[in-house]
Amino acid sequence: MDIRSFLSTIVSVLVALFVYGLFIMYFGGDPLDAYYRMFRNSYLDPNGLYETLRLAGSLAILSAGLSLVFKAGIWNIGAEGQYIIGGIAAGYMIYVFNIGFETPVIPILVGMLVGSLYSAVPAYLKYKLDVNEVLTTLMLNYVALYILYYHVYGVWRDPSTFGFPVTPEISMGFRLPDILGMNFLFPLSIIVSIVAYYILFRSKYGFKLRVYGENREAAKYSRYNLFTLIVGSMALSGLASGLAGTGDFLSYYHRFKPGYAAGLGYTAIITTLVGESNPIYTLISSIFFAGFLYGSNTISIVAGVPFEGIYIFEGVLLAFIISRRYIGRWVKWMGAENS
Amino acid sequence: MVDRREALKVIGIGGAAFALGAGLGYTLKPTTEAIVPADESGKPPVERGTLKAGWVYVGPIGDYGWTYAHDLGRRYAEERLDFLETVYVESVAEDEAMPVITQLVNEGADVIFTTSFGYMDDTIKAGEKYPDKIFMHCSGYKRRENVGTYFVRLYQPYYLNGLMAGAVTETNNLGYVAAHPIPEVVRHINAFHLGAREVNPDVKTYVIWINAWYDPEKARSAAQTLIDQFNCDVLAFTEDTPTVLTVAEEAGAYSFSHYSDMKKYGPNAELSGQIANWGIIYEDVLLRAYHGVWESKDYWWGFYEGAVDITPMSNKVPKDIQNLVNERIELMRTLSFEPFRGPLVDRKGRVRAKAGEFLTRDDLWNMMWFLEGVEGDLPGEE
Repeated sequence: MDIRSFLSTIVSVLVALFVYGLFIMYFGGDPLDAYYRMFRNSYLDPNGLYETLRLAGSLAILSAGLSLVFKAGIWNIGAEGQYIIGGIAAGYMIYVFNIGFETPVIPILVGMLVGSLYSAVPAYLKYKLDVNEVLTTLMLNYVALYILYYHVYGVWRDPSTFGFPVTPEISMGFRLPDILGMNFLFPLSIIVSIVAYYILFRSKYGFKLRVYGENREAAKYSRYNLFTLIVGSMALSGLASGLAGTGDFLSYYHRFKPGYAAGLGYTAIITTLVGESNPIYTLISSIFFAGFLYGSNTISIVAGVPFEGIYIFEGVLLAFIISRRYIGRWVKWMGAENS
Repeated sequence: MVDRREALKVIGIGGAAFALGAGLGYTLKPTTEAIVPADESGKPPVERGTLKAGWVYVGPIGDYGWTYAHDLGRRYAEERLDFLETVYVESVAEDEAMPVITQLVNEGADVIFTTSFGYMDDTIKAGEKYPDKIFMHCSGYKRRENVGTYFVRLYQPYYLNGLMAGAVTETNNLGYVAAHPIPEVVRHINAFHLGAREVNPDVKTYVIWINAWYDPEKARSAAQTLIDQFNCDVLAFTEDTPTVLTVAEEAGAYSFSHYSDMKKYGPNAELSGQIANWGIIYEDVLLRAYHGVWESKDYWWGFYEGAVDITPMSNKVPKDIQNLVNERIELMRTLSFEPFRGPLVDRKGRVRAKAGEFLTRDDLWNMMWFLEGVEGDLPGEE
């Protein structure tokens, strides 16, 4: 990402905020006041900051994984499903298989592995049969969602909750602790982002991925091993998604509910695109989006904007992000005028 | 791709933009309004002159069902109480209540209503975290000093609707589109079937779970399945949209309104419906809160208190059944009748109430069994 591209991203965000601001005004609210209060609730209030960073952690880990495949031009829409399946796999290590002692380590490793395998299947289909990965990963999200429902409504349901569909809370030994008052996932996401950055921009493998993403023919002529590129990067991406899903389960929810998959896997697609598939930038965009996800309720509270508003913001933003190449040109043109 | 100096520059600009945004927010903030959260003033609501109440809704207020009815209640209370200011947040996922409650408290709410069963644990946690705020949780069973609960006896209108369905059906197959397999919904299904069975002993009620409170697509396919594959000609439902009524209208079958008058979605199909009048509960709670005489308790209001009703009966309901329904309503208004009266035997053959006995409140709130004649899987059946 060069500076121009970065500025066009900022312009996209500002324009989206402006359009959303018009929307707030339409409902009789004061956009600046609403944004200010949202900012205060998301970043200045201790409870809010905790929640925002927790969300940012999950989003950043998911985005770090997605960056690897997006840079390679592979469209993994399945982070949501890999997140769920990873969490369920971790659940098996707690609810079903008794390993004799309580530790979060084994559930996490199993969750990552299973998330990775779940992602490798559509990758292998793409590699072997050229099956479109957008469709397969998207459909596998639904498979994962119904597997979640099967466990929450059926086999793992907590008998002590008056039949309400939740699984029993896991015992303390399995939980991930807070670190320096932050949810475990946020510090972890910084490490994951750095590792993903290193793989993508400092390793030979990352170089090959980027070549493959920019020029399929060049990758072919260079005799790159497409199996390790396609299946390998997808497996890494699934590894990260599985980590996020397992991490949310062990550090925050401590149980499964039908709403366990809150769509973070989809939001991560936006944060990854906003961050130009660079894991360091996606960390920043995740913190921004997490604040917006958490604080969007404030807009409803102070300005009476209906809940659909958040989708308008996301939609406008996505449209501008996708078309920012043209905004970039405009920024360049402005720069030329000034110099 | 990106060298270090450039990355630093980018992060620097990002940080500057961030600080600028925050700074702008601060300076442009109107100074007349206090920035500190209202609870830091340390004064009880009664001295402040106004009371601010916040609602957490599970669906959109335009659902024409559950959330819509609660919002009617909110507006009713706001109209009746001139000291009251209200705010709400729609479509809050069941495990995301805590962030919303925190933000409502930060924005000055004194009383907070959480209107879905799934908010129960978060509401209790919020009660512990904000001991000087009042919380009311709808449809739950956990209370504490500053957390009360409330619900309406909607099984009473469901029972009356069952009487109508049993009389109107020609196939003797009734359908039921149900949200989640929890005691509240199970209670409604049994009440409906109980009424139907009373006037038509051959009747069967087929249940399909859609595992969502608000999912019109799933509700549609469930209703269609009940009509096409189970030969049902009268459908009831417990989920938050008018979808089932619409499908019944298209298919020439019958159905009911749920929580609000949905007649326009099925002018020919609507036989009657269940109505909840949340407004009178809200008014009672808020009046008590304002005058400092609120204390934590459970409201479970029905016909007797005026918190439930049925919508006007269609002329497709036979006259004698209409008379029977009106008679039962009058009895329930004076506490002289209750639908869940023994003998009641569940479909596994266990006696749940002996002849002449009534199910207790705990029985009703833990109900995870179906009456004989209710068909379909019940996850967690006892």
